[in-house]
Amino acid sequence: MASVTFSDVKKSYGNVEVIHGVDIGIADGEFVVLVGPSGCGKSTLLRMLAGLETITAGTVEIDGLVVNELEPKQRDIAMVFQNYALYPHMTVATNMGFSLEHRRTPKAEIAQRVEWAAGILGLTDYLDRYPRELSGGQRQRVAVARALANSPDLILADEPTASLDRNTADRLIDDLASLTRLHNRTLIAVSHDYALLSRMDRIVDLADGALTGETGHG
Amino acid sequence: MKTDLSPRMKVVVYGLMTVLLIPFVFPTWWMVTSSIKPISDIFAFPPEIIPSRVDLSTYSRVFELQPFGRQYWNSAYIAALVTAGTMLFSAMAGYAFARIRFPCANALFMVVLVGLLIPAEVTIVPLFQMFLGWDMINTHWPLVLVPVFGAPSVFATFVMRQFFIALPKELEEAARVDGLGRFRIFWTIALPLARPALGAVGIFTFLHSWNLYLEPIVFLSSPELFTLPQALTQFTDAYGGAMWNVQLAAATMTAVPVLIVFVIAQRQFVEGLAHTGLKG
Ligand SMILES: Nc1ncnc2c1ncn2[C@@H]1O[C@H](COP(=O)(O)OP(=O)(O)OP(=O)(O)O)[C@@H](O)[C@H]1O
Ligand SMILES: [Mg+2]
Repeated sequence: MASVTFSDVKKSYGNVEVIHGVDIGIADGEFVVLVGPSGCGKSTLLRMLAGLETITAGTVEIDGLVVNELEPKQRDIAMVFQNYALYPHMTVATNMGFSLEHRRTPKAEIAQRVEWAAGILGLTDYLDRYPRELSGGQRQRVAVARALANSPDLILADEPTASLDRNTADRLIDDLASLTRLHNRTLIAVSHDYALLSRMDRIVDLADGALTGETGHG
Repeated sequence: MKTDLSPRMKVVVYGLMTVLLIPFVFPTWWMVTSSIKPISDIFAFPPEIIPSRVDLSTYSRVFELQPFGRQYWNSAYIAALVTAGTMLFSAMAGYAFARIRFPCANALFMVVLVGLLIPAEVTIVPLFQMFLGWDMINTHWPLVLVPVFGAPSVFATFVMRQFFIALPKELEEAARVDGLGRFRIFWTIALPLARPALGAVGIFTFLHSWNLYLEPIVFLSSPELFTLPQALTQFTDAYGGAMWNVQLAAATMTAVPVLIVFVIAQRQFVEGLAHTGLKG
């Protein structure tokens, strides 16, 4: 259960403003995709929501709570990074259970959730491998599975299908979509991939750090 | 590495490598063999590459002439403390300089680096004065405190900082999202990934401490507090002549830990490098 509201959000690096006042409202359980040309500020927007970038102006709310000043860990989110950011010194299973372990979740429950997420992404056979022993697409699936295993209400994904083939990408998107429906998760993804967008609840178009359009419920 | 060399090339290459090996291996060979020769045989002409008479009593003489066991322990525990301390402090300081933004970070780092430019010989007298004031002369404290908090760990800090700067930022961001605080990120993500750098720091710190000569002779005066390099100079007969075979027996025993550290640390190096196989 999580809703997100961006109100007139701006971001500057030094004197350069890269996001020029964005307003987006995302309802509980929605699957929203941010699209737009490279460098338009999609990652930046996502990172501000995650708490990894400061917000220069405006407010970001999660469930009605202004989170501008909150640390990432206080926001109850999971994030799939554009370059995966898997911990190289941990196995796939440890990567996926790392956050849960840190929060002192019982071992049995960690194992169960890791298993579940690995099942969804077809990673059951790879749980004991290290990231360096996986292909690019497999790593990407691990990155998504890691986010799922934590099962927060809000999942952010930066290009989660970028290095997957058409079929795998389609399946992943289906899984993510059903996840939002069945388990009531809110999902915000960034994508270049216009072919994927048919199943989205909503598509938010960005260009040059400003909203240029929205395609409503599909 | 597998290369296809013709048998003749093989002979040439291996022959060449054998010749190149001589300057590296011969001194060690000479040290070990001379340590078990009667002293007259060391100066025999032509030199005896393989000892004709073996006298192992030199090794027990080492312990009779000096409290060598005690001195061995001194060197070992000082080197262990210095290595552990330097690894810990340089990793934390290096991480702070690489990742934490604080006022004047770069200026402060320059100040720290200046420590590299000042030779130990320049600071030894002020350090002596300082430790005299703290009543630490003829104790092991200066030999531990100077390397860990002084110039020798500056280089280690520099190495660690360079390593942490090169570590992908996203890994730490992922850890932040996973709920970790700054120290946990350092301890469970950055530090394990820094094993190759940490291994290098560990090796050169241990060797530096093990071989340290100037500081011990300045700060220590009682034989039971001596470290090994200092003790090696003490094997003389009643007339001040060097007892070469006994001294070389002591030198051989002094060299053993260095070899062990190399063997252990090399494996760490390779493993550590494999773990950082980051690729997008
Ligand atoms: N740390 C930074 N310092 C200065 N400018 C930055 C920084 N990070 C991003 N930018 C700029 O902000 C703009 C938006 O970057 P962002 O990474 O959000 O783009 P993006 O939409 O995700 O692009 P892509 O699709 O290529 O990933 C770009 O013009 C980029 O150059
Ligand atoms: Mg991006």
